Amino acid sequence: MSYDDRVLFSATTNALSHFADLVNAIAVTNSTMEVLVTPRGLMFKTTERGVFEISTLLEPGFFKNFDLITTDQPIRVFLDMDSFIESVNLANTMAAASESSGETVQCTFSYHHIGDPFIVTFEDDQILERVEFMIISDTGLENEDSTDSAITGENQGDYFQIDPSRLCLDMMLDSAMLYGILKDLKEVKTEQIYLYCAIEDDNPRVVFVSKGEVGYSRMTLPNINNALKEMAIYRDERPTTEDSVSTFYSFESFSKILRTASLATTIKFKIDTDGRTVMSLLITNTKSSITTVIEFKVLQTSDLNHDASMINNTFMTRLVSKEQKVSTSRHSNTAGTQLETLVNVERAQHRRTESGQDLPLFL
Amino acid sequence: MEINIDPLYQILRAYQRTNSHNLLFHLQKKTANKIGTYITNSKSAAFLSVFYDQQISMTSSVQHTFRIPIRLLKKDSDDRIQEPRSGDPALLLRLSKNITYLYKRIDRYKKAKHITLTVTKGGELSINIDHELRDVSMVWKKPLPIPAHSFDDVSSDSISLTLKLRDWKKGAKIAELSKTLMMMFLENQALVLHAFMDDEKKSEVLFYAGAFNA
Repeated sequence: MSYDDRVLFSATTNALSHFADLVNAIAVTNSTMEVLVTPRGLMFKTTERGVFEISTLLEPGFFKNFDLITTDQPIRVFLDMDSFIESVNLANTMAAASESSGETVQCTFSYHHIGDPFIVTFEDDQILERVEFMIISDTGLENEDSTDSAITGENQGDYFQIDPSRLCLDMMLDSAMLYGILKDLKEVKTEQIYLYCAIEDDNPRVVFVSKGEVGYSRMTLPNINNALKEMAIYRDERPTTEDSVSTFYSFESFSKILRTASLATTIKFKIDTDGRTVMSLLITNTKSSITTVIEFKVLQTSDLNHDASMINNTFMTRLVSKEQKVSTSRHSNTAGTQLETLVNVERAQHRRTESGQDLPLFL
Repeated sequence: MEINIDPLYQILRAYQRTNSHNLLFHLQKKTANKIGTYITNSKSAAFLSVFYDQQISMTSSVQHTFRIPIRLLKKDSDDRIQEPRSGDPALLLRLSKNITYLYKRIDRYKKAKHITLTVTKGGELSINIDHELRDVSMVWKKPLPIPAHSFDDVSSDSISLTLKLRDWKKGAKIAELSKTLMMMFLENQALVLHAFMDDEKKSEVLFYAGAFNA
């Protein structure tokens, strides 16, 4: 058999509905879908350069067969997002309709050789549908000196990679809780979202602060023992018992995990001292009982120039303190949390910026 | 004769939706003494009158009467309307009922403009949909029975036909409603659907879709 006759990669699965859930959840940009094949599995990824990336890795065990001829170059292609999502969704709807009659759809991904289209086939008892996706170039990459990064493939966008020696927060949250909070914060037109995690007198505390049209609001995780499964704050690679970690994100980016959070059961946060944030959302498909992970990597975008420190940030400590004045407080709709509107925050901040001195926030 | 289909369709829908019976059609010529009472502003020389009784309650019913103007065609205008004829060798396929599943599947592709149907000597029916950024093909896995000698006059082992997707979709509705469905391939000319709408084969619909030749 000559090299040309060999298929570089082929993998088949029956879990089409689960797959459709995953790719829809990560299709949060309207550009391209990146496909990466390595011995670790088949990865789908969407990226907003320098802002966030969201990906899911389907390990070889996800497939009935996973055949990959490893060469020097990993298989890394970009597909048109709309076409790809449309085809997957069409096949999935049809599969759902035929499933009632006991049929299952086999979904095969294959790639013959470099430069060929990426092929996905959907096959049931009656029809074999074969979709060849043109390989398109990722415009963001072309401007970049990509010779080295193309070879490393998976390590593309290393700047999202957490530095383990600088890890400062490691926690596990109930995903439904986070989903509820994000939905509520979206309703109050949040522009910036601040995450405050602390251990106070041996008790963990998690607060989400929203900055938006109505000013600052905060949302404290209620029943923290139910929602928070695990939390550790590190200082110089050692767990601490007194510190707090504050991170700041644009809500537009952060809320890209909304759909994923609605599917997931558990969400794991890892944040390093540069504000690199990795969220791993665990998704278990009820039908197939397959568990997969969607990983969301985002960089913090601080707008608090005067006090950007993540550890024990004084501004944040004041915002979440019990002494902070609150104008209104209402029960949130979905998360069961208390949404409190904070007052006198902007004024205090202004004073401080103008004078350039460290005035107390609540004067 | 020619008739505007929409009013007829509306009447039949109303008949179907209500508790009605005794549906009657009369093809009527306009007569002088009836002009004033009914449609005075119509130039039509004939009407299709539709009557039915709608049961309002156990004891009362309402009779509905509709008149749809009809255009009677003169001989020369009738001659101008030509049914496509199958001069070239045609491949006749009898399709199984669940082929509508294939129709439905294609129906979901919204943006495509053309589809190409191919039938091989071995009875494999495949359909190609060309998109800008992807190429979709669907194969009906069960070979269709090919009548003997169908490929005698065909130089290759397969027959292909490209249609506008829009035309295919119109035919799809007929396929869905039919009881028995035949598909006729007139290579590079047309696809003809011959559908029997009931088990007794009392009513049939013929659907022609002209081939698209780029």
